[in-house]
Amino acid sequence: MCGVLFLFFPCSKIYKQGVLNKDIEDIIRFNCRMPDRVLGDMNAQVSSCRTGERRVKELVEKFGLDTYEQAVTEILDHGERLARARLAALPKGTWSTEDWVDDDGIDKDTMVKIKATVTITDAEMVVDFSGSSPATRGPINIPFGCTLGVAGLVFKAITTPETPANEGNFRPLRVEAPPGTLMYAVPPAATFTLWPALLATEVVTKALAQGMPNVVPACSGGDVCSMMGVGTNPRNGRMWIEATNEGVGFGGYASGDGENGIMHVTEPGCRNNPIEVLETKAPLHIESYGLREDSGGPGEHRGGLGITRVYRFVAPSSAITLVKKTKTKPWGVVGGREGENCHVILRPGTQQEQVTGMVYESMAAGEVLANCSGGGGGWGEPFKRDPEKVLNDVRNGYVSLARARRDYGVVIDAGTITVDVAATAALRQKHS
Amino acid sequence: MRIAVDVGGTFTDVIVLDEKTNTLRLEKVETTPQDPAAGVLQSFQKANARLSDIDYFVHGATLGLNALLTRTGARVAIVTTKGFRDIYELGRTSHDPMYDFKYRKPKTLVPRYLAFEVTERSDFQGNVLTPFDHAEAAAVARQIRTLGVEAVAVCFLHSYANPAHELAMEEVLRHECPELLVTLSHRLSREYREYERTSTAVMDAYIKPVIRSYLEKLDGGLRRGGFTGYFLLIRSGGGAMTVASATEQPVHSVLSGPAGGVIGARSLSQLIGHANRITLDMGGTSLDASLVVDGQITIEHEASFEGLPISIPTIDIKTIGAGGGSIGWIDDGGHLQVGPQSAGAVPGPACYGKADVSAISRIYAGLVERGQQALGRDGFQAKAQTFLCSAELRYQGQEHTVNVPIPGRDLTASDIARIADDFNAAHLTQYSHHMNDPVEIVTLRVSAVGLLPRPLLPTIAAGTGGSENARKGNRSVYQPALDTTVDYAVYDRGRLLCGDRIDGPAIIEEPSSTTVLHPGDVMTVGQYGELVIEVGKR
Repeated sequence: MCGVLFLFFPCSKIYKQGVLNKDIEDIIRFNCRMPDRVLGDMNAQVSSCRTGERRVKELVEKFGLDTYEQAVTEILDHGERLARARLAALPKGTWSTEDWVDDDGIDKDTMVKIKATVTITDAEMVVDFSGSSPATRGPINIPFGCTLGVAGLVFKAITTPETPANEGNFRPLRVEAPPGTLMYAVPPAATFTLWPALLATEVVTKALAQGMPNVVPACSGGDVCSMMGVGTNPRNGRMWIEATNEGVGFGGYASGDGENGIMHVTEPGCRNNPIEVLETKAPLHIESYGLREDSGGPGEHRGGLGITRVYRFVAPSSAITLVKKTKTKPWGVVGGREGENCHVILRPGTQQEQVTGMVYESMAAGEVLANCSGGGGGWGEPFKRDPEKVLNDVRNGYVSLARARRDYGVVIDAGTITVDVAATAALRQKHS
Repeated sequence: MRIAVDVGGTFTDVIVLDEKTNTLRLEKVETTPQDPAAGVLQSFQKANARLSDIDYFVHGATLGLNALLTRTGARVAIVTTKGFRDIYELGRTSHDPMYDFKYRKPKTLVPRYLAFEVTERSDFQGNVLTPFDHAEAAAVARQIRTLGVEAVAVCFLHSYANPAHELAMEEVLRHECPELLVTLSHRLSREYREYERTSTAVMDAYIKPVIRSYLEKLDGGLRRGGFTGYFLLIRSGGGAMTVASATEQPVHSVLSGPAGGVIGARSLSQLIGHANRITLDMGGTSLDASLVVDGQITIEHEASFEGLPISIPTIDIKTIGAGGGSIGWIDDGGHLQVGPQSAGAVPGPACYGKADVSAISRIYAGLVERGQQALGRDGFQAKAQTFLCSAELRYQGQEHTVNVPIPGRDLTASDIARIADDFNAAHLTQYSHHMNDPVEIVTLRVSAVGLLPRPLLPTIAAGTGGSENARKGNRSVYQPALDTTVDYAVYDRGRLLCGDRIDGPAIIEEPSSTTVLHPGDVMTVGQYGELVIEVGKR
């Protein structure tokens, strides 16, 4: 839960020799709007650290410091051996590509470029973000530590996805970015909540897709698509702040469809906020929540579907939507087509209806906001998709009858919900 | 006579406690998967138990779990609020694996085309915002009827606060599709979180047909054979339930398999002392571990099965995919690995403002009354009924709760202060910190317990302290640390007597398990036949 706090703490110790630094705690408490939640979260993190400290001490006491240190070294070396073994099996080469963040939050008309060049040799994988936008005025610059994380996420996903992470897993990876640019923020560049980091993850996979389309999937819906509401709760006069991220469609891949409605790959463990909880804690009414038909990119393996959630604000509130990939669509791979993009609709169906992206908007009582998350891109030629799978897509409402015909060349009888094999063959033949 | 039967994958275990002769007997028969009820009845014959002599028959029914594991349960349709058919399909939209761009969710039990919507809407306080549309509901019911559905799970938003629309839907289904089995979500859970409640209702519907026909057959066979005693099934959350209860809400049997072992461990703990125990149950492919803490079984209320949530009380058991038959292998980095790893890992309305003491007492009184009625229907007199009240509490602003036992009746203001103190202490124990923030109650719980007379576990005869009568021979055992073999003495557990002592290295054999003592370990036999081992320095 982000506490909306804009302070730098340069590794300041909150506890020294077991004693709380009350001054720092007070600075946090008095400078955020939901101090209870923020400090509750902080205390939970402190407890986790203390538990970790206890466990490490127990290990050292039981096995002795020498054995412990040798074990640590071996665990890291094992992680490296595993990574190198898997790296050796990947194709070698250099691939370069780019994608775009909607804007930097200040200049709404200029898209911001992320460029990634990935090189794989026998010895290493290099991810180079040179050619990305210079540092932006608006707060979307990424500290280099985060850029290391972006490349690391992709590297581990294609080498050692199944084991718990350790530093050894990342030794064959080298990451480059010119200081003072988007992917290497240098003070006083404005930073915020990581956007290009999110999007940059999939720019790296987009580059890899050129060289190994069987290893990486198409683009996912691409963003966290979060909606945060803030206001005063008329039921108790207190401030409320509630939010939920939305799942996106994952990209189709060599051996399967992208999953529907799953939190972006950068947010493992993140769950949506249940409707019944949102409506209990806040003056919100959810009108509907469900999958977006036809939002998955067509392909031999279809991209997953995105989600639409419609909010009605029961009392005057502020709505903050966090999404920065609405002006580009999630790309497909090896002939797969784009998925539908993320977007936000303010006041749908009214004179003031507006299709937009990231906003901080005052919503009057009774006003509506629709948050639509993106679908995944498709993998492979849509006309090669097994007609039985298309039939299943139509039966389950993932793909409409019309799009089954138009995108996949599959003709389905609306009455019996069966494939017209002859018509399908003819249609696919005609367009091939 | 008491008899307990546990149906496993290969074998069905039968234990007979003859209270007249104070003897305990164990039998094994082969499981008959094509007709499990017949298999159980046969196992009574093998155990030479006359049905008319049996006072209590306790059964760990794994049929529901097997149906889930093999995906052979009923064809289920979901009915939910208009605009929300994807609550079940989407779930919490989470993925736990951290580095998986190709993540696929565990398959759900209901395909999207069997999820239907009906116009209706309540708010979180139970006020009706949109009335239930009977005509539309009837049309949905008729459509469901054409699709070969066997059971229906109904879950409307906020039904925990106002069940009226779910009840109305049940009526419609009874009228339009009388042969379909129906589960209403509010009957299984009165807490918020719509996905978890829907998932629980779906699981109940999924196993209802197979459990009902199994229990009908088994109970029928027993009664026809002269059985007049109590037929009880183990509950996932500990304790037991009658056939009538299990027929109504079979979901409470789903995770009951490993529950029996933990319940037994707690009983043993009470008999021989030591309030804190780790329980282990190792099978061929997996191992279940649990804790008995301060003599109490640990219960959780958010269990899950293969990623699908079940919001019923279950004993907190962690399972890993490494059992007696698990395969060791060397990974790409040269390390030894064992098996695939999997760890079983997972409130009513919040009260705003100060705790309304009389309101809480009233709610408890209502819950206790419902418990009294339920126990009464199961045949328990008032003096055999007891009630455990607890509440889920959390710091304001946090999401997750801690369960704290509380006095349910006639609460006073000073009780509230003590409850807050108990919560802070429990939070400190579980999370290593507590705060000065206001505390809120999220859920009030009452466990209504019917007390059954406890069996007396038979004691074994006392010996002279030596164990030579139980000696079977020797075995050579390889010691990796010494890179040589060492002779281990082998004993038959069945011939050991109370007070016997064995020093390691030794192996104690019995039909269903093996106990190994290493050099330095010392074992003594207790009065119930339990083996108490002082582990030597490793």
